[in-house]
Amino acid sequence: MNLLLPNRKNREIELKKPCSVWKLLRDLEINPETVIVIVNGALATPDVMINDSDYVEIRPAVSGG
Amino acid sequence: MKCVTCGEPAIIDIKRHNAGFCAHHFIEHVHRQVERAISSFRLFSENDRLLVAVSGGKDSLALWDILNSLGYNAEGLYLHLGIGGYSDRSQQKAEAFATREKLTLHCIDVQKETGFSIPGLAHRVRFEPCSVCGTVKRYFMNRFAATHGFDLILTGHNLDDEAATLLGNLLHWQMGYLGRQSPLLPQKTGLSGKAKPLVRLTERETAAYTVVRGIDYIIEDCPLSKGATSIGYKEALNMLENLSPGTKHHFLLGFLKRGKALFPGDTPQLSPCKNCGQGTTGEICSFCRIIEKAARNDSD
Repeated sequence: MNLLLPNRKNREIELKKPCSVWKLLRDLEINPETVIVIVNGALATPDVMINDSDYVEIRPAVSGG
Repeated sequence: MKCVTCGEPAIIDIKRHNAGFCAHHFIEHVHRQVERAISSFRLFSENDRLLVAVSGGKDSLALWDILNSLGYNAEGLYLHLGIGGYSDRSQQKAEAFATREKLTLHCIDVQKETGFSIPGLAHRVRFEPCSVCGTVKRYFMNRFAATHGFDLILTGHNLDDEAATLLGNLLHWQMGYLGRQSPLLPQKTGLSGKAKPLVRLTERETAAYTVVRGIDYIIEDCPLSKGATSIGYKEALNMLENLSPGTKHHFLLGFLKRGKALFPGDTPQLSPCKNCGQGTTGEICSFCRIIEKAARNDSD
């Protein structure tokens, strides 16, 4: 799976089986309140299942300054 | 997850409302929250001339889009702050949105106006860049609104911004600031009124709104804001929000409804700055003092 992380860096992760958005954020230790998740260009809720062929963007929602 | 309104697949979950929404009903939810803020805090009316402070980021572009959708007549003001490529890229986003929506965007180049970029000013006066930036933005927004007949300046401050400010003011017992914190700052001597219509929406909601509406915004943070205290306050509040959804909403809106009255609402006496005429507590406003100091240090 191709992943764009909140720090805007790309990462390749191999998913052996489909996993939910909720589990992905938990495994990456990302607070779901601080991001929106976009799977193949569409916003995704925590229960959406992600496959290895998907492009997933975890976009930061918190801006500062 | 299903949309709480129509039962179609949801595109976003909002835990504090214990709800999911499809794209159509999410847009409706966002518009409703802004309308509630406008009416409950009596921010402005359809007859007011509104100026949106547009940064090219998600909040200000979402705000401009929402106001436009709700039928308000709002023009935009972009300030090019001279923060390298970041300022160029954010201006491009603001201009692209204005062109797409056929809205009027005014642009001011701070470096052309003052002779200094924000990093250059901050370096010369040896102040924190965010503090200098805030002063410069306030000056140009006030000046533009006053000279072009706008009734109110609108900013994209959201629930997270305001909750973080409240936390900071409480942690430092800033009694005067606590008494004045409000989504509406009325017009004062030499200063335009300001309003924050996104006060009932979280950053996550405004970010999601821009995606649903296809608004291209600058995602990267300002390079000068790294390590800003407000980001730490937001992290702390989001940790609490994740443990107990609704915390930020109750913290901020509960304060505005019940807590604020406990703090003195003393308003500093303002008089026109002897240089520029904008409202100030002293003889010379902080913007003019910064520019004078930078010019002095420049010639040393």
